[in-house]
Amino acid sequence: MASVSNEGQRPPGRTALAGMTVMAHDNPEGGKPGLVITELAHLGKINLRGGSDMLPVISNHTGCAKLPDNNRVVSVGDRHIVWLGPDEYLLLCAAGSETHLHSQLTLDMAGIHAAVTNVTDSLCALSLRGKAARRVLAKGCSLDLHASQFGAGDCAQTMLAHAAVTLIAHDASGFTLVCRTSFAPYVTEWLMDAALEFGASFRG
Amino acid sequence: MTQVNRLDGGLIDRDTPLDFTFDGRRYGGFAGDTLASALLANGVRLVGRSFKYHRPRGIISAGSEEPNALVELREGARREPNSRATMTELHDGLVARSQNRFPSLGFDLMAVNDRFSAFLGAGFYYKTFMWPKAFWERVYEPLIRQAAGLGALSGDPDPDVYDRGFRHCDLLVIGAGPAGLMAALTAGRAGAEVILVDEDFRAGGRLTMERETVAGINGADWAAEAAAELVSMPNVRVMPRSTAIGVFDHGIYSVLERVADHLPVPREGTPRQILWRVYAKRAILAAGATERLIAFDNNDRPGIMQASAVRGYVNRWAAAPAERIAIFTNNDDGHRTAADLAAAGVEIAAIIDSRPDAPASDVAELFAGAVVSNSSGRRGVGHVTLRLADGGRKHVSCGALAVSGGWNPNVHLTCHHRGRPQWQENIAAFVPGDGVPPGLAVAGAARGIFSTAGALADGRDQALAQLAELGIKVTSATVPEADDTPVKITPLWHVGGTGRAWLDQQNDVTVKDVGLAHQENFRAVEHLKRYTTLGMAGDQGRTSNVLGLAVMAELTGKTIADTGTTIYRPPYTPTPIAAFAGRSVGRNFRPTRLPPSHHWAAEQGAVFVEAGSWMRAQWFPREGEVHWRESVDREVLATRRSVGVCDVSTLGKIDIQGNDAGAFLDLVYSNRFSTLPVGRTRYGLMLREDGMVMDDGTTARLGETHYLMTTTTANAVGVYRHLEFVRQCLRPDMDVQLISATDSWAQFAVAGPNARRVLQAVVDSQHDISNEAFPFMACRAISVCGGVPARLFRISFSGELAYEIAVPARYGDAMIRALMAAGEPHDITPYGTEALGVMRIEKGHVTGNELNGTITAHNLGMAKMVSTKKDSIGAVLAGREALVAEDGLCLVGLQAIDGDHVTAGAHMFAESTPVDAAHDEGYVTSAAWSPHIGASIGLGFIVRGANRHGETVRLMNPLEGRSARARICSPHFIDPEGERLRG
Amino acid sequence: MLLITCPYCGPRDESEFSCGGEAHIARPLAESSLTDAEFADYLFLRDNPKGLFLERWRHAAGCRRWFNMARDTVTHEIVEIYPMGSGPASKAGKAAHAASWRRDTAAEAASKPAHKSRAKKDKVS
Repeated sequence: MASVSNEGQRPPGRTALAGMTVMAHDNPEGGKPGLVITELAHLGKINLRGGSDMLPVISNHTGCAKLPDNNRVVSVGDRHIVWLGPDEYLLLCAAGSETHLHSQLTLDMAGIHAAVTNVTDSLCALSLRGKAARRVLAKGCSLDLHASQFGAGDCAQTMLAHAAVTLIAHDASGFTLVCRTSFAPYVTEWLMDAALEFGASFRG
Repeated sequence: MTQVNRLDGGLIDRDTPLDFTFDGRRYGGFAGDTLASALLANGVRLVGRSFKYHRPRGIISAGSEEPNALVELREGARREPNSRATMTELHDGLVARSQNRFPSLGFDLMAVNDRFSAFLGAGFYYKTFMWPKAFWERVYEPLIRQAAGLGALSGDPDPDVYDRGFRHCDLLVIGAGPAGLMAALTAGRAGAEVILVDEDFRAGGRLTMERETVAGINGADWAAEAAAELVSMPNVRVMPRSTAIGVFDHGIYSVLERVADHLPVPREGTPRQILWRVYAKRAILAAGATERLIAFDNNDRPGIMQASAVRGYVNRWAAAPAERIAIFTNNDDGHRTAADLAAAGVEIAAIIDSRPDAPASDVAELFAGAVVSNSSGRRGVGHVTLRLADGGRKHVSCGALAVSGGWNPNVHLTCHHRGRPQWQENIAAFVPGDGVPPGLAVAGAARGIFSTAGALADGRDQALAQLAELGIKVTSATVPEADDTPVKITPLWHVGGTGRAWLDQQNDVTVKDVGLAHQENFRAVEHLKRYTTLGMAGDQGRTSNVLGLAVMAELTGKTIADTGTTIYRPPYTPTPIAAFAGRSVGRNFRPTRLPPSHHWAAEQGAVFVEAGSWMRAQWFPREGEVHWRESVDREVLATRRSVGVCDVSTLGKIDIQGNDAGAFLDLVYSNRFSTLPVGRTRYGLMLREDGMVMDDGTTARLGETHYLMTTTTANAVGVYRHLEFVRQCLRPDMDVQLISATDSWAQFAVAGPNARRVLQAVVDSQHDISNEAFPFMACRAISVCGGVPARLFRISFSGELAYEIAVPARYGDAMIRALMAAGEPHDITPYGTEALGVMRIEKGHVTGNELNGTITAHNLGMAKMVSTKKDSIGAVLAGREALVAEDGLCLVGLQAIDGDHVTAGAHMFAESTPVDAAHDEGYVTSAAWSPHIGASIGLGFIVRGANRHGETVRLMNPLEGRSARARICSPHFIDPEGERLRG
Repeated sequence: MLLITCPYCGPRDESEFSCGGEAHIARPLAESSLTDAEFADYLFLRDNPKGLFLERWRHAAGCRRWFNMARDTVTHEIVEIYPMGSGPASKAGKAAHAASWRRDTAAEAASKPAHKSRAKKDKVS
């Protein structure tokens, strides 16, 4: 990449859901909305392809002791390594840290059969929280979302309604949902519609 | 209005009275009523007209098998036809109407059909509407359509929401009667994840309708306690008002939950119905049994009902179907009805038991060995005629006749994998046979165990067996004490007579119709079904099939077991289409993807078009432009004159990395990419293995082991899938990784003589993009607007000096605004997909229209791009003799003459040949008005096209009744030498 | 509606998968010189058995990995699922693989380097 000549004039970046009106439906039963959707604006996302020989490099930059098993996430601080498939991972990191991390990883993996791709703008991450989160997701996702089957640290690439998504469970009522940037408005609107009966809110 | 037939007791809430109307008349009922029970309580017997003959019909059953009492519910957009009154929970203000009558239920003009019934028998349609052939479309079909169907839809969009949902469990229990409750209790107490579904709104099944004792208490109370215990278990989900409608592979079940059908209007935000897909490791079918009727002349008169339904209405709903009721039975169960009616104080006119050895009755006069041979009465039964054991006749006056012909286990779901039920002689009924879906066990009455004690024990035993297979341990599982009386039956299917005896009351099929089918040799059960329509109504023959089979068996002299039965298919009960659609309506029908400049384009007033799932700007109308072509012509001319900009982010982008990336591209492209220098872009042609062109696009080499491929928007998904197939299935040995990068980058084409000047204003100054430093087909990582990382490609789709500039998607909006600002001195013009299309036709670039799956590189004049020096997909078959023949189709340009118009799809003929298939020389693939040429132009394929430039051809479009003349020319209408794009 | 156990992601609904048709069709090597008819065996001719069928499937909405599946086309029973590049392990799967007419075709022989074609004939590609 070229050197940054005049950082101050950089135009503003736009998030996947910028311009979407803030939406809220009251919980018909009163109290907190059953689903709270928040866009994790510009959350850093790096796609890693390669085998276990990537571990020392990844470990060096994230502090993780091992790569995640199938359908699992390994988290160290604000860095999460999400299993996507055999020899494929998604590294989530704080917004803004991905450019530096990407070039570091690329450099350090030079001798390894691995591909490191910055997919921050390709994907949109949403935080889903609330008592009804699992019930809303179960309207469009065929996974067994029972907390005993899909609990903290579990992840899956699957379909939500008509969109391909990656779901990550944090606890009983909290998820991160990752989808293609261009599908994000559809996914958000679908979630808001599906959550109508429980009350829902969206913040960009 | 007094409820004339309302008795004491029952499971209704007399503290919650409800008002409803039927055919405009107001009636009263109570919470806990169904529409059917409330109508009966109010003395309403006539509720509808039959499908074909418009015969007056009444309520037959108390469950989902109801064939007759189909009514229209609600008003306005929520109007819903063909609702079963027996499944409709009463709510305050319910509006119901009868169907299939004009002008009124009592006096129906179409009832004239009944007089002509001799001509309307089975096969009537097949025989009558055969000739003359020309009558079919103009006379017969409209007539039949007019007469067909029962209720009518409102014609307005449904205002309610329907949902889909997914649930998983260890054990799915279908039916909450004694067997189902016991199975669910056993599994739930053992800690298994259980789902219990039941179509009723009250758990208990037959226990809600009987006077029985379970564990020393009233059966309905025991059921309520059991349900309450199940609801309290966190591992059990009890789903009332939910019907399992289908069994699919590997333990997948469809369950329709009627969430809000019992409310006037669904609660805000809640769906009206949910179609669940349940993934069950194991399942138990405890769907109970359905009582059959006995056919006799005029047995369809309102008031003639299943004995079990009569008993159910009296016991559960405290609604007597009439003040004086006769009972007709061939088994012990009829006597139970008599005992219950007597206990409720309903007058019993007579018990007619067809068995000479009928047990004595102490509640009513018994006619053993007698049958009911006919009925009479206006709009409802008034008398029944008995044929006594000694051959004598007797008239018995009654307002209702309770008929008990034996019980059919509800085996339907066991047939959903083509399982065939088998005949069990001692209960004279079909029970589940071979082919029951794997993982599904059947319990209780659904497999012919009819006593309550038997059903409870079987429910437990089946649950224990399923739990054992799941590896779930059970310490103890006791069964409460209950009634265990065996039921004796001597089959009687129909009573011979001279009139019409009805089998399928919904489709108006009589015993005689079965006789006609037999006479005309439609004797196999599946033929019988289709010829007579027996069992093809909404109840799938639940009240009629076995009767019809028995009649056919009699006629053929075979046993019922040998005659066999038709099989049942999903859905078990009628299911609204809306439930299948679920949320996939309106904006949720399918995803809409928005390119990065969408918001900006919307601000400009762009007209959008759906391109695949993308919304793309089609053109940008300016004030004063009234016709779309004014806008498009302006955009094209402005681009060619100065500079234009277009969002091309939707083109598929695939990031290809790895040591073997070049070799991989050599395999998937017909031309070579491993030799492409870093920093350069090359046009690639991708073939299918059969030699036809799959897709085309440019691929840039960003680094030694890093390429970026672009695909057409339409083929982005297909090409990525193809590449993954090649990588994983054909060449797993290659070190190559593929990542879709379509969404990563916002990409804009900047085209026109001033394109470089515009770009120089946004590209950071340290990057030299002069013609010398950045020639045609160059690519490079640069930065723009003060440090925003970007990729610049010097490629052209329009034929002009052009670039494509890509920035991370987040900067797409800022980039288009920056380009517009930078281009202002040059009157930069945004253009949409229409202008893009016009310019590519003018330049002779092919796209999806040309790459239609039948076109080879040879046809495109690109035969040289198929390298024979390396292995590539499609290279072998692209060389087939016929595909490389000299007289093959060849891409040409077409220019209309005499002010004519080129239309895509037209076929080409030489000037003087006949217009027929034999002289068809080719076809037009793309057409546009070229503002540059000032004429209608197009691209197409014609035989020997390369040698025919200058020739005039006729373009025939018989579909649109148009023809035109055009001159063949080079497909490159502008700048054939390519000087502009290199400038 | 099938429930398919992706070898990497576990049991998933059929709607997440796409079927790629018959498995174990090796692509002839470039240096082979097959006749058009022999090439057609590889490219166009596919089995459509009533009974056990070895198929390629892809977990399109999940890990996007291809794998092989032995499925009964009558009962939809899934006998086994095994990774791309390996052969069936079940008795029925092995029998179905061995019984295929494709094993004797010139196209399949041409998918292996010439000097190894005999030795590797019984191996699954």
